[in-house]
Amino acid sequence: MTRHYDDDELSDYALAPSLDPGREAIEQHVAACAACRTRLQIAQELEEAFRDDEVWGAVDLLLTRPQRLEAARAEYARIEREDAEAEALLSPLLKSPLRFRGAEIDTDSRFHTGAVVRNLCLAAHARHEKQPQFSLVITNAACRIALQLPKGGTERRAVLALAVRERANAFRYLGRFAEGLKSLDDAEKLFDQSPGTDPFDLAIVSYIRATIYLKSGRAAEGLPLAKEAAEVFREYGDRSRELAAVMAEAVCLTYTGHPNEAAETFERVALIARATEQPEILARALQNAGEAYLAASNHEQATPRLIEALALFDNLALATERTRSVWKLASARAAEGALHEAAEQLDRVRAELAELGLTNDAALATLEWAEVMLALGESSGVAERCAAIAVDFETEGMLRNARIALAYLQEALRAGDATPDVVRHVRAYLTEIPNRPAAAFVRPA
Amino acid sequence: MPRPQTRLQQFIDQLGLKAKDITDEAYRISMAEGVESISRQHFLRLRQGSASATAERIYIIVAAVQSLTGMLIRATDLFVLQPATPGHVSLPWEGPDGLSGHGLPVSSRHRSSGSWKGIVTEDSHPADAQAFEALYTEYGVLLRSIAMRRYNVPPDDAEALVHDIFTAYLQRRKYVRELKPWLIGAIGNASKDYLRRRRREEPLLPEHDEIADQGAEEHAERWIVNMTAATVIARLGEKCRETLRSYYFREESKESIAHRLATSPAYVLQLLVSCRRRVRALYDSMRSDR
Repeated sequence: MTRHYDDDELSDYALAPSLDPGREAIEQHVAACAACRTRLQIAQELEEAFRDDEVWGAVDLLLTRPQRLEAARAEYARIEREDAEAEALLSPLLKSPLRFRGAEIDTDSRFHTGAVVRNLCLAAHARHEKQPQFSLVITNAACRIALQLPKGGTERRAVLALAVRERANAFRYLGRFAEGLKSLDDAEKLFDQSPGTDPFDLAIVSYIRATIYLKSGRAAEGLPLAKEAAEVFREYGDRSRELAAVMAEAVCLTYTGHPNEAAETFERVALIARATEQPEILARALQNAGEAYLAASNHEQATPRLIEALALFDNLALATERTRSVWKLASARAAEGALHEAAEQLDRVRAELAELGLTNDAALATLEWAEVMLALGESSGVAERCAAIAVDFETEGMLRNARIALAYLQEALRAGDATPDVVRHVRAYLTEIPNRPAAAFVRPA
Repeated sequence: MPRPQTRLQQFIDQLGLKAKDITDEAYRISMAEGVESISRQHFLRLRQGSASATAERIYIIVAAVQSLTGMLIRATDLFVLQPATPGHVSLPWEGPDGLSGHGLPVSSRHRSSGSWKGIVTEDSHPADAQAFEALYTEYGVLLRSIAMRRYNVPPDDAEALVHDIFTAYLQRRKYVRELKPWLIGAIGNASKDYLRRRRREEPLLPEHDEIADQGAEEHAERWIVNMTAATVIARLGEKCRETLRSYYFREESKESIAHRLATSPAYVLQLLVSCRRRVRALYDSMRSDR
């Protein structure tokens, strides 16, 4: 092979190949040398670009101050100033719910700005998880202030939309789903001012709605919304929101009895989480994918996901999730037919879960252990363990239903009628109670 | 010391893909699309991290992996993409990166839309008025170009749409997480809405199609090259820029330029060479993930 050519030589050649005295040699070399071929291609691109009126038009645009730059700068300065003022006014009040309530900011005209509403929405958003009651109080104030902003301007409607949507979020965290859905209906109507950004804002509405449906036993209705939201977030390049929406989609699939599709969707979540280096989400996605594969009786796929999840949870020092991974690995061993090993693991997991205070998980793990023991034909100690099972549900109705199911199991164990299928039936019922709180226990046929 | 595993290596290991399958698929796609493929040796070097990839190579690899797995992946899933020239707002380039979750479309019709998003390798919110102004000026050109070239929005209206997008952004800046892809998504939807409204107001000509113009799509790769080149040229000093413009675009002779600059043709030649080198260096830094 001949020597490589430098960029100057390649540029000269690209300028006028027919006039280059070394044309033949260059062409021969470039035909055999991928690196020079790539560099020549770049030289040719630039030669063409230097002569292209579109390029010089764009250069001039870049060098010219845009017509509306002054207006944009003024808007930037206004919003910066108002945001800073709003923050200064609100930050002392947001330190305690009492102080915030006492200030009655919606009756004080100093607080009647779009920036205050935006700031309140942010403050509420940050408190949904830990102080949901306070976040509702904040969003209520935001809505009242937004309604008092001057009519006719676009800002009033835009910030009202944000406030109403955030209020729906607060209701969601409080489990007041009907009110949350009503607020979302209102927010949906208000996002109609900015065609470029409305789809994005509406996707957030859809996502919140999907999660409410998920939590209220309406996963089938949540599924298309979560999918839709994921699509839009993708269109706007918002990977973290996309991730959340795909996760919601996967959970909807799980709840609607599509474990294979759910597993595939969790795999998508894992892929995005891996690419964006979010180890906790990756671990949860792998764990969920593992569980979905187990539900689809595909334990071969489940095991590697659960092992990786376990390692990640270990690294993240998330003890409860780590124990859940061990639990699901034990389930996978049982599915593989390694019943003795599975029984030993489940017995350990049961104790660990109880120690961690995860009462319902401990109950379910105990039932799974009982199922495996009965499958092994070893019923000694099973009735005693099952009699000691405790459950803890949010409502009296759920608790009563759970106790009815457990009493039925006790009766079957005492009568010697309990089989692995009977235990599995009770376990499946208890697992589903949070998703279908009103469903009564039905004895197996 | 062993070289750390590349992202590409980790990805294909995780999926159990074979290099041969990927390069075969890349070859098939490159034939269909009329772009250059990638040799197996080059692919192996990229996998090991002993070579760097051009945007075209990234495109073809991501397309092949997506085609083989059916997964929605982005260039950043496989490659570490660097920001463009530090200290500047990043402007167009990059082939397939960041299809923002659309995954890399295999068809060329979608390719350019992916490329538009793919230019976004740095994505911070403007920290002050100056940064906002830079974003508005430089990124605004890209957004206007998308509206004009992809959706055939007239220039004045495109500028108004871009301005509205920036205003809407300012209202939402606390919850927009990935700014530049968000702006691109927003201008796309604003342009579509514009076309819908225009259609209601008056019959549209065939070129005013809500769907991205097919012809524009076909020329999108060229357009990206041009936008990158324009950004680079705009960053040059005035003397360099105007000398390049005179020589290449206005086709003035070296002698004529020398006369105007009151210098010698040899100096003009030297100036052209050094300016071209500068362009080349800036262009390279924006173009590939070195």
